[in-house]
Parts: sequence; C-alpha cells; structure tokens
Amino acid sequence: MRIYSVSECVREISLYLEQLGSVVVKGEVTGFRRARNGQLVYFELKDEGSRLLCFCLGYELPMDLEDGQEIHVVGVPQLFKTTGGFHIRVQEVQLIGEGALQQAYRRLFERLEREGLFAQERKRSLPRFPQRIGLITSEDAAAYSDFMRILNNRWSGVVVRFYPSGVQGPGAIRQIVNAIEYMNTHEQVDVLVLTRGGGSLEDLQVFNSEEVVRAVIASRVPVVVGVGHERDTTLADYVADVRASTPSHAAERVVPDKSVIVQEMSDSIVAMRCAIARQVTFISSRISYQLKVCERWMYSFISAVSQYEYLLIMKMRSFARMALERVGALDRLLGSLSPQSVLERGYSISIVDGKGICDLDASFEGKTMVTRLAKGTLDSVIRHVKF
Amino acid sequence: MPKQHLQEFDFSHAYHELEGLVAEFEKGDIEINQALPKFEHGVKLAQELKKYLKTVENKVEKIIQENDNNNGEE
Repeated sequence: MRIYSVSECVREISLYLEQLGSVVVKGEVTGFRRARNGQLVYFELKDEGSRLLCFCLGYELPMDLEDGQEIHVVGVPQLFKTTGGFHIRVQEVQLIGEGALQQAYRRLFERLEREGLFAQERKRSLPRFPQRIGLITSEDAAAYSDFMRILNNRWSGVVVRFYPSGVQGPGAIRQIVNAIEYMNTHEQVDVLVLTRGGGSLEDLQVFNSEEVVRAVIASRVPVVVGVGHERDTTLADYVADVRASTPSHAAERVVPDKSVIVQEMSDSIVAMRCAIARQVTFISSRISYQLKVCERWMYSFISAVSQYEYLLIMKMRSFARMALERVGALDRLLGSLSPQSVLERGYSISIVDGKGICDLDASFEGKTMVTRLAKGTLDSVIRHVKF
Repeated sequence: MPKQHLQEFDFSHAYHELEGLVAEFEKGDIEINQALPKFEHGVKLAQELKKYLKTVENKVEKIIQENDNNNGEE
C-alpha cells in the first residue's frame, strides 16, 4: 500500500472531492460567525445525525445567518489545505420557510432603503428605440415566450442577446449575477431585461437576494426587472431602473408599439403638409395685404387727382364766368362808344370820297357827300364850302 | 467581445431626424423655398421608417456559457 505524506494525502482527497462538483445541502444553521474583520465566514449546518462545517469569504455572503435557520447551502466539498479540515465551500445560501424569508426580506428592504437605493433619482431612463436588448431569464419558462411574443408583436429590428439562466433554486443567484456581469462586460446592449413568472416567496427569493439586488444596482446598462404577476414585488424590482409587473409588461416597457410609431410617421407627413399650407396661406395673406396697401395708395392718389381736377374745373368755370362778365362790360362800353350809337342819338357822319370828314376842305365843293344816319344814308352835292 | 453589431439603417437616428424636421415645420422656421426639399426628405424618412418596421424581424442570439468561461455564441 502506498504511503502518502500528509500534504499528498490532503491533495489526493481534495482532487477526489473536486470530482463531486457542487452539492446542495439542507440543514439548520448553527455557530454563524465572521472572522478576521469579517473577511471569512464560518458556520455549521446540522441535522439530527450530523454536522458540516461551511466556509466562504465575507463578501460572498452579505447576509448574516442566525442559529436555527433552515437553509439550503450550494457549495463544493473541500479540505482546508493546512488543517485538512473537511468543509463545504459555500457558493450560495438559500433560506427556506416563509417566516425566515419574510424576515430576511424585511431586513434587507430596510437596509437598502437606508442606503437610498430605492430612490427615484437613481433610476435611469431607457432608450426609446433600443437596438440590442440583453435578456436574462429561464429558457423553458413561460416568461421567455411571453416576453418574446409581446416584443415581436410590438416592434421589429432589435437583436435580443439572450442569456439563459435559472431563476429559482440552487445556483440561480450565481447564474443571474454572472449574466448581469457578462452583459455589462462582454455585450453592447442598450437595456437589460431580467424577468421571470410569478411564484411563492421561496420561488422568488433569488430576486430578493442581496447578490442579485447589488448586481442590478451595479449594472451600467439600465435594467428592467419584471417578476411574477402584478402583486409580486421583489427587492430586485425596487432597485431596477424600470419595474415591470410581468414578463409581457417588461417587453412593453422596453420597446414602443410599432402601430403607434407607424401612425406617428403618417401624422408627421400630415403635420409637415399642414405647416406648408399654413405658410402658403400666411404668405398669400401678406401678399394680399401688400396689394391692398398699394391699391389704397393708388385710390388715394386717384381721388387726390380727381379732387384737383374738380377744383381746376371749378376755377376754370369761375374764371370763365368772370371773363364773360368782363367781356359783357367791355362790350357794353364798346357799344356806347360805337359810331352807330352816336348816330342813334341823332348825329350823322359825313363821308366824302369814301372817308369820314372832320375838317372842311375847299376841294369838297361840287363833290358828292354821303351822310350816314342811324338808319340809312343821304347822298347830297356840296354846293358851297364856308370856313 | 462579439463583433460590433452593424445595422444599415439606424432607426433611432432617422426617427430623430424626422422629429426634428417636423418640429422645424411646426415652428414655421423653414423658408418657403426650402420647404419642398425638406418635406420630400421627411416623407422619404417616414416611408423608410415604416418599411423598416414592416420588413425587419427581431433576432434572438443565445449566449451559451459553460462554466462561466466560454463566451461562445449560437
């Protein structure tokens, strides 16, 4: 028989244990303690017949356990290298029993609330048109098909990067935390959706675990959490950027409704048409206004011209009248000065040799003299000229 | 890291461009001589957006993880 050194023996047994992989052990907690300033966690799991030492690092188990609590421990059986002590290297702890779960829920709720992690100011808004969606849920659950059905009904052209993960039971917490971290580090998604159907408090405890809650908070990509039916609200829901009540509702929150957007497109065209029509109407009315202004100016000009014309005519008339009166007066004056009127008064004009005579001339003797009276003439012969 | 996803048509960009155009029209900021080309561009954008929604389908790509080390894709 081979003789091992102690180190070899511990190593060999460790290698053998490694082949077992993860196990889930149900038992009652006893002797929970944090050592080395909380860096290490030790407790025992017991039942009526046996006890098992459990160990993990402090940050891996944020919640404190109490003696007597019934739990499931997910972990790997191992030996401590230095002491060779057998233990379960704890990967995950799940509480069992409604009372314990409710108490743990309340405690964590209060702690997270004190840290301000439920504050509205923390919530980030989602992109209106995500191109890539990270989906974390169980592949076989109705949640997946509900989410995809609503997503496909509502929207087109997105790429869903689907990370299948357990959503309850042993190992689910680690898977979800890994999925969130993976999406943040390896994927370029616009939004993360973490969803599952409804269930009992025990079913939903993964979504009430501090590990999942902290992973949601730490995500740099906005997270939509949609758990259960309407009434189920987990702590992951409280810290999510957007809370959806069901997987279907999560799809509704993540993408818009195609028919609404198509309608918006049609409305956009109508809106642009109306805007152009409004502008054309506006410009036409301005042109009409300007035309009216011109017209008014023209009319006022025309009326001013008409007025001047009228005035001119009136002036002309009065001038003509005055001129006529003046001509009448002159005519009358002229009439009074006319030889005829003198003849009318009984005078006569004597004409010799065709010329009216004013002076005597000796040569007139023997000539015929025409005497012009008012009415008619007299021809007489000049017999004698007397000076 | 998966290769950068490329889409020929950037829906979000086209949508916001159309939104901006409609806003310009509604504010009445557009010169009448620019209105027609802008309107035509807007109609084209709206048609492309509608066509995109009608013809393109969603795609699911499953991420397969083995022991948290494999980043392979299906």
